[in-house]
Amino acid sequence: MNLCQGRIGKQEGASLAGIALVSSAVFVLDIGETYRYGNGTYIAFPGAIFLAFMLFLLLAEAMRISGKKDLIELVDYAVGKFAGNLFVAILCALLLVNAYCLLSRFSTMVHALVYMKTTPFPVLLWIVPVVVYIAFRGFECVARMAKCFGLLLGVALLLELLIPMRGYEAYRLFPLPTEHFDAIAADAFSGMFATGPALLAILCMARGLQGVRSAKSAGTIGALISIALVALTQLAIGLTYTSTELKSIFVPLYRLNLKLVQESYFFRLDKLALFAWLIGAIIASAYYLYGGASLFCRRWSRYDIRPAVIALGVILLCVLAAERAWQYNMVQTAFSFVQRYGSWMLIVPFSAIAVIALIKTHFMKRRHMNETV
Amino acid sequence: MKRYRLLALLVITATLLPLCGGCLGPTSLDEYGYVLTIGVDQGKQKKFNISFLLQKEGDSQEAQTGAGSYIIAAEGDNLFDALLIAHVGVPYELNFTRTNFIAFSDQVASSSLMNEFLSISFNAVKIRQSAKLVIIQGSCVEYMEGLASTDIPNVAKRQYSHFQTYEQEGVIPLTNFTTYQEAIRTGRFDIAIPVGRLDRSIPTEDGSEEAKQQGEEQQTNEKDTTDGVKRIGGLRSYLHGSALFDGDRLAGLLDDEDTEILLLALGEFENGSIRISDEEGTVTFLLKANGEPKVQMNLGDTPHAAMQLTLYAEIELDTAGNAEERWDSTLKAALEEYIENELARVFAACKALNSDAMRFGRYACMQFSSDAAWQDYVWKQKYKQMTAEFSVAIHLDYRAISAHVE
Repeated sequence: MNLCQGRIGKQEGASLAGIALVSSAVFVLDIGETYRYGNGTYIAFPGAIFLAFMLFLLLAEAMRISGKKDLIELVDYAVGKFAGNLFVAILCALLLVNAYCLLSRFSTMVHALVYMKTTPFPVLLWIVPVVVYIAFRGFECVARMAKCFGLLLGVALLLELLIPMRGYEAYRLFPLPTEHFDAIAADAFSGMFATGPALLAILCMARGLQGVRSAKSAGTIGALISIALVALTQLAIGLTYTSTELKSIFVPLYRLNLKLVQESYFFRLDKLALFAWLIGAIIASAYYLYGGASLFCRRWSRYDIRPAVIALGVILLCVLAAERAWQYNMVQTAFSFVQRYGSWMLIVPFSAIAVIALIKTHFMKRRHMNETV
Repeated sequence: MKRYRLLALLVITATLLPLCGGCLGPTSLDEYGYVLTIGVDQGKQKKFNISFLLQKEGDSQEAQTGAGSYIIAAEGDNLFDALLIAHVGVPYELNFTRTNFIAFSDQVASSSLMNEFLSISFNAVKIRQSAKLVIIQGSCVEYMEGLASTDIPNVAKRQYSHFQTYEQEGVIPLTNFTTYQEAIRTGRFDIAIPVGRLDRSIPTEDGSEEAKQQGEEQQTNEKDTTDGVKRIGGLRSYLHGSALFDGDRLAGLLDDEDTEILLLALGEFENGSIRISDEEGTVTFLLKANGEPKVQMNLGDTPHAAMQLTLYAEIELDTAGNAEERWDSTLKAALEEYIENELARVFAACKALNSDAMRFGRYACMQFSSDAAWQDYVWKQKYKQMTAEFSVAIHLDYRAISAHVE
């Protein structure tokens, strides 16, 4: 089986996890609905990454203790191959849903904010093939691209937050949603559908990351950096726009400069920034696409990963085109379903797998010790 | 084989690069007419008479010899209607990416038409949402004509001078479309927008006999002044004072001195001069703000605000020559009391217009624990009964005095 996986190091892994987590949290989770009770997104979104990180640590620890080399092995070890199919299918689907969500959001952004005179389909044709090509070249290619752009994108994001600082006003964060901590927690939990797959995919490809220990370090660095970046980004958005405005603003991060009254052409970097984020989204989507194809191949196909990447890429393109052409409601209903139940589908089975694996290992070690005695 | 593959890749890249660089569909700068200001007056045939102040780029004959700015106006029920008509008469495409100002006549701003005009999708014509708003006393077309000058062909440069007026003199506020939207959508405060006026005593620059005659005639008219003062030279159009809004409607105007006081309360004041006269002489101070004012709000059925303001003063003009000695004994208290009284007066003026232009709603909303509770409070209803007290502390900048003594 040719998985085109290769070998990558901690820096590549951390950049990959960081880019995917920041892109998903800032662009997929940031929708009007999250501001229904006020603005608590600067807690909820980093919280979603933190919860995913906890699940990641639990699974990584279970893999280390049970001596399994990647997540698929752990799943098979805990629940057997037959039931394992279901869990792998869930993760595979969630990875592809994340790729879809990111591409859908970015193609809409590029179409609505830059190329508004064209139809959405040419924009899709311009973005999706790039994603498919990077995924087609394999995991190593995706990860090395992430390393090349990781630091650059991080600095660009921080600059984007620093430049409009004069427009920030603390009163816009008010009223603080102090009566709605339950809603913030619920948002953090439901947001896991977008943050969890990025970290779990690292564990699925732990062999390519030189083992579980290295994958754990890469995931930890990526998660911690992205928690800080996402919290800062959402705080900057909250200091620029009130929750009432945010309910109806599309991609508020793109509009941070607009509150400045003494703006000059120097501040008109939003379109450049958009293309920087697009690079991040392309890398993240390629990572999700490769992850989904890799799981599919390892479980249900013994052949080359590349046809699977192309096939899944074409399906992705068709869904994105259908969403824009005539099936908007159907695709949105499916998205709402994943948004509502995705985190449950992720946290319940995979926490259970970690716990079962740990208990099983404990008893097996005990039995082994008794047999030795 | 590997070498051929590399060669093929290079050829493909070289073929595609010109496409990316726009070589196959080049567009030169003079194919665009850059709209720097949009003016919105009430129309006769249609709802609006929309005028566009253009800066033409490139080496065109007009740019070399003329003012370099043009006005195109057309009527329409919205911006897109007017654009359709305006496009017919120009050999280039109107481009809105550099639009810095949107001006509304006071007639349009007093009605719901301003909000109706601004409800268009700015993105559709690529107008930046940070475009500044201006209210024109009279007609926007006339105001734009008053901006045309052969001495200063670059309109954008003239527009940037407004920022200097804002920063160095503090006689106009600056409000952009995004802040207008925030005020309308959230109802937390009302906005103050700079007012554009026309000094008809300044002759037009088209040089025609008729215009000269018109200018001479108008110079004799006492009412045609720059905010009540005679001026010679410069542009006919100028920005002075502020227009106060109650929600999305123009409620009233403040003159330049009241605008300075308003900016002090807003925490947007940078510099400005103030004059105190008594039996010993006249002292003119340059006031500098020191951060935002501190406001304590007590909410209830009648909200009450206590605002504390700290300022620094420099002596600019001292006719008696003893201002420094008199500072602690008389001048400091007199100046503080004067500004406190002025703040109270301007607050009362704003309240009379039902305009929370001092933005006390910003502080009020901080005392609520949920968005729903804030919405239920209905701030603008409570604002009608609001009371406020102001305390001002002014410190004399001695370092500036020692530098001032030559």
